[in-house]
Amino acid sequence: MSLVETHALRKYFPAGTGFVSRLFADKKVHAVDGVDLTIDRGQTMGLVGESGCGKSTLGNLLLRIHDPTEGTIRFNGTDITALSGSELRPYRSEMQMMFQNPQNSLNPKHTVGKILRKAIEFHDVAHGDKATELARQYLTEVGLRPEHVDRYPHEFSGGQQQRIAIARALSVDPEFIVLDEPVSALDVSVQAKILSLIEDLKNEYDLTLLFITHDLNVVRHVCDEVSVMYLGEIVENASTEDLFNDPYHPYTRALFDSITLPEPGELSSGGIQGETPSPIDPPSGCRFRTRCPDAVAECETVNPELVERERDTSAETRDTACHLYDPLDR
Amino acid sequence: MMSVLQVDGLHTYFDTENGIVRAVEGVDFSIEPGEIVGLVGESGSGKSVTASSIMNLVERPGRIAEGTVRYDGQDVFDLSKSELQDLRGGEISMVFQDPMNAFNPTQTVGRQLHDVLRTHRNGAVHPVKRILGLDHDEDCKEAVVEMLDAVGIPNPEARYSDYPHEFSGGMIQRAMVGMALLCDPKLVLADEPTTGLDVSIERQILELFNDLVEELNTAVLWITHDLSVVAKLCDRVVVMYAGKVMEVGPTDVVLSDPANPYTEALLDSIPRYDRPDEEIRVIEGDVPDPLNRPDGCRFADRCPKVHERCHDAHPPQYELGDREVACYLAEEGTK
Amino acid sequence: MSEQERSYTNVKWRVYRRVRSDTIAKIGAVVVIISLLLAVFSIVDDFLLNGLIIETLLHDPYQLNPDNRLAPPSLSHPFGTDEQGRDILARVIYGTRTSIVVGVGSVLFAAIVGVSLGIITAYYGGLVDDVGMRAMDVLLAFPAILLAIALLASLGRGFTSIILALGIAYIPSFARVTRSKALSVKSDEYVTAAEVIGYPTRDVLIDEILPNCFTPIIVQATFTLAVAIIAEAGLSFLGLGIEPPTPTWGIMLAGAQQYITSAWWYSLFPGLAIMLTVLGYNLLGDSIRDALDPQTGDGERRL
Repeated sequence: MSLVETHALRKYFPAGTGFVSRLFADKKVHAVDGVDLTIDRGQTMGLVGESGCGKSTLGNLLLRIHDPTEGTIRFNGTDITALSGSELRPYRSEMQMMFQNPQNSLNPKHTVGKILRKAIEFHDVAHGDKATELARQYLTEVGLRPEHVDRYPHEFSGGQQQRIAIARALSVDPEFIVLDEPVSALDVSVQAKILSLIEDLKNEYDLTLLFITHDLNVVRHVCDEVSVMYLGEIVENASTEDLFNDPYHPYTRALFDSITLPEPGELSSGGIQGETPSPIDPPSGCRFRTRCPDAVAECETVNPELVERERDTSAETRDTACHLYDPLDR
Repeated sequence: MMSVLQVDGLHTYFDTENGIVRAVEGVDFSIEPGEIVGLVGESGSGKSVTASSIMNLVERPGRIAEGTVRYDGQDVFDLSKSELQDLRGGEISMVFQDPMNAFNPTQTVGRQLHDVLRTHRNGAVHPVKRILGLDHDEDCKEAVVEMLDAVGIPNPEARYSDYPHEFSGGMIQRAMVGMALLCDPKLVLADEPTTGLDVSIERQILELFNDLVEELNTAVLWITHDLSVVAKLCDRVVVMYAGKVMEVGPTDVVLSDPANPYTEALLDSIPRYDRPDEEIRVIEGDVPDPLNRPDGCRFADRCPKVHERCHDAHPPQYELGDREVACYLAEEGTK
Repeated sequence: MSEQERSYTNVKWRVYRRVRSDTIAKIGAVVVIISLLLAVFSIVDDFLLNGLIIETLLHDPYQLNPDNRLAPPSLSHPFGTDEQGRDILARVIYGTRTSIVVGVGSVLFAAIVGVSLGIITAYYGGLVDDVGMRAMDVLLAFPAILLAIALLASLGRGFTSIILALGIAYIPSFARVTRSKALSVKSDEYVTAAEVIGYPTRDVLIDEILPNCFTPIIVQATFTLAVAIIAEAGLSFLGLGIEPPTPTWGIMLAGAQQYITSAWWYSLFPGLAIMLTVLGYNLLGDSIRDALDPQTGDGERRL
C-alpha cells in the first residue's frame, strides 16, 4: 500500500524576487512540473538527478514546506495538499526531514537536549522528566552518549551532528522521513557510518524513506526503488536492481556513464554533453531532447508521458518517459 | 630533471589557547614537470593546510614550524613578499572550489582574464589607467578569447564581455581553469575544484584538465577528498591522515593494491554501484583530536591490522617498490 | 564545560573575555559602568531620599544661591557654580540620570519595535516585507534628529515624549539590522526543521530565529545608545527636550552658552560628561562587535 502519493504535482517560483517582478510574474521557474510519485510503505525510494532538477523542491513539497502550485499530495490516504498549519500539525509528527549540512541543521543556541525535548513535548510524545529520558534514549539509539544532552551542536563533529539530526527526526515517532542529501557533506568514512545507521533505524522503526541524492553509488546500496528526475519531471522509475542492470531512458543511461569509481584508468568516453537548460524556459516537447543522443523529430513536439513502456529486446516493462519505447496498451 | 615542487619535512602548527594544533606534521613529496599529483585526505587530515603552506599563505595563529618548500629549486619561504606575489600570479596559479567567489562580480570575466595576462606580460599599470580602460591590449584580448575557446566555452568572443553571474557553474569553473592556465604556469594548485559540481560537469572539467595539462606540460597538485577523481586524473597520489602522509605512490598501484591499512579502509568505505552486494565498510572510531593525537601511528586506534609497536611511534616512510608507505607492515618489503 | 567550549557558546562569556583582555574595551566598560552607577544613584537619591546623600556630600543640585553666581571651581564647588549659583558637579551627576534613562528607554523602545518588525518582514517576505520595509524607508528619509524634533513638537515636552520621539526615529536602524540577519538565519536548515516538526510560526520566530539574530542587535543597541545620549543633549539644548529645572547636560550647555567666555567651567564640565559617556559607549560597542564577529576572530587582541 502506498504511504505517500502525489498526482500532477507542480511548483512554480517567480523568477525574480523584486517587488515589480512579483507583480508582473510572467517568468516562472518550473521547479517541479507534473510529478506523479508513489512511495510504498516500508520502502526506501531514491530520488536522483543533477542540481537544479527539482528533487529538493519535491521533497519540500511532500512535507508541505512549500505550497504546491497545482496537484495533490496524499499521505496515508488523506489529501494533505490544502491543509492549513494547524490542521497539518497531526501529520507533522508522521513526516520528518533530515538535511544536508550538519552544522546548519541544528539551532546553535539550543542544547541537544532542548532540541530533542522540545519536539517530543510539542507532539505530546512525553513530558517533563520522561521527555528528557526519551531524549537520552534517542541519543543512545543513534550512537551518541546520553550525557550529550547538555552539549551544544558545535561541540560535535559533522557526523555526530547528522546523528543528532536523525535523533530529532525520530523523536516525534514518524512514519516517513525525507532525507535530503544526508551524507553529501560528510567524509566517506563518516558517510559509511551514517548510511548504516539509517539502514538500521529504518528496519527498527519500520520507516518509509525518500532518499534524495545525486550520488548513484549510494543509491545502489540504500534504495529499493529509484525515480530519476530531470528539469522538474520524473523521467524513469524502477526498482533499483532493474534500473542499474538496464537503464531505459537516455538520461538515466548518461547519468550512469558519468558515475566515477575509485578505479585507476582513463576517463571512459560518454557522459552527458552540455548543461541543463534553464528551468525558466524549458525546451518544448521532451525536456532532455537538447542533450539527448537519440532524439527524434517527435521529441521536439510531444513531451512523452511517464507510463509503463515496453522494450523490443526485453520482456520487461518499465515506467519511463521516452518516445524510444512504446507505451503498453492497457 | 629538477622537480617543479619539492616539499621536505613540512610542519605547520597553529597556536591556539588550548595548545598547539599540529595540522601538518612532516609532509614530504615532490611533483615533476607535467605530472598531476593528487593530495587526498578527509577533513582534518591537513591537506588544505599543506596547500596553503606551499603558497606560504598560512596566516596567524598558524606558522610553518619546520621544513622547506622548494619551487624549481628555490625555497619559497626565503622569498620576499613581492617575489612571492610574482610567483603566485605567474608560475604557480590556483583553481578554487568556489569560482563564483574567486571572480570579481563587478567586472566582466574577459576583462579579469585580460588584466591577469596584461599584468603578467607588461607589469602593473596605474590604477587610474585601469579604471579608465586605457590599459586595454588587443593582443591580450586575443589570447584570452583563445583561452576561453580552449577551455571549451562556446562563443568565446561574446562571452568575453559577460559578467560572472551570467555564467553557469560549469562554465565559470572552465573560465577559472582558463585564468589559471593563462600565464603558462609551471604548477597549478587545484583546491577541490570539482567539489559541488554535478557528476556530468565534474567529468567535463576532468577531461578538460587532462587534455590541457598534457598539451601545456603543466604540473598539477590536485587537492581533493574524492578518490574516484584521483583515480581518473592523477599520475601519483599522496594520502594524508591526521597531519601525516600515509602513502605516496603511482595512482594505479596505490588504488588497486593499497599498502597502508588506512588507504585500504578508505577505499572500502566508498560505496560502489558495481558492487551492490558488498557491505560498505565502516572505519570504527573517529579521527583523533588534533590537540591530543596518539604518540604512535595516527591510525593505530582504528586500524584492523594494528600491532603492539604501532602504539610506540608513528612509522617512518618505508620504500615499497616505487611508493613510500608509513606503516610497519611495509617494512618487510623494504629489502 | 571547558573554557574553550564556553567561549564558543556563550555570548556573554566571549564579550567578558574580550573586554578583560583589551585596554580600550576596559576604559569603555569602566565609563559605562560609572555612568550607570551614577544614574542609579541619582534616581534613588532624588526620588527616594529627596537628595539627602548629594546634599550631604556636595550641594543640593536644585538649590539656588544668587550670592554665589558663576563661582569658579573651588574646594566647596569642585566644578564651580552656574548663573543661579547651583553646584555644577551635583547637576552633572544628576544629569547622568536623564541621559541614561532617555538613552536606554528610547533604545529599548526602538529595539522592541524594530526587532519585531525586522524578524516578521524577513520571515514572511513578499507583501509584508515590501510594506514594512517601505515604511522604514519613509522614516529613514528624514534625518533622525529632525524626525525627533517634529515628533516632540506634536507630543509636547517631557521624559515620555523624548523617549518616544527618539525611539521612533531609531526603529528603522534596528529593523534593518535585524531583517538582514534574519534573512540569512531563515534559510538555515534548523528553521526548516522547526517548521517540519510543526512549531507554530510565533515559536519559530521567537525560539529559532530571534536568538540567532542577537549579535548585530546588541552591537546596534550600544551604538544607538551613544547616539541617543547626544540627541537628548541636543534636543534639551534646543529647549525641546526635558523641562527645567531637571538637570540635564543639554540644558546646562544651553545655559552656559552666554557665559562661555567668562565662566569656562560652566560649559566645560557638562560637555566633558557628554563626550566621555558617548566615547565610553562607542568604545564598548566596538569591542563587543569585534568579540562577536567571527571574522575578526576572538583570539586577536587589539592592544
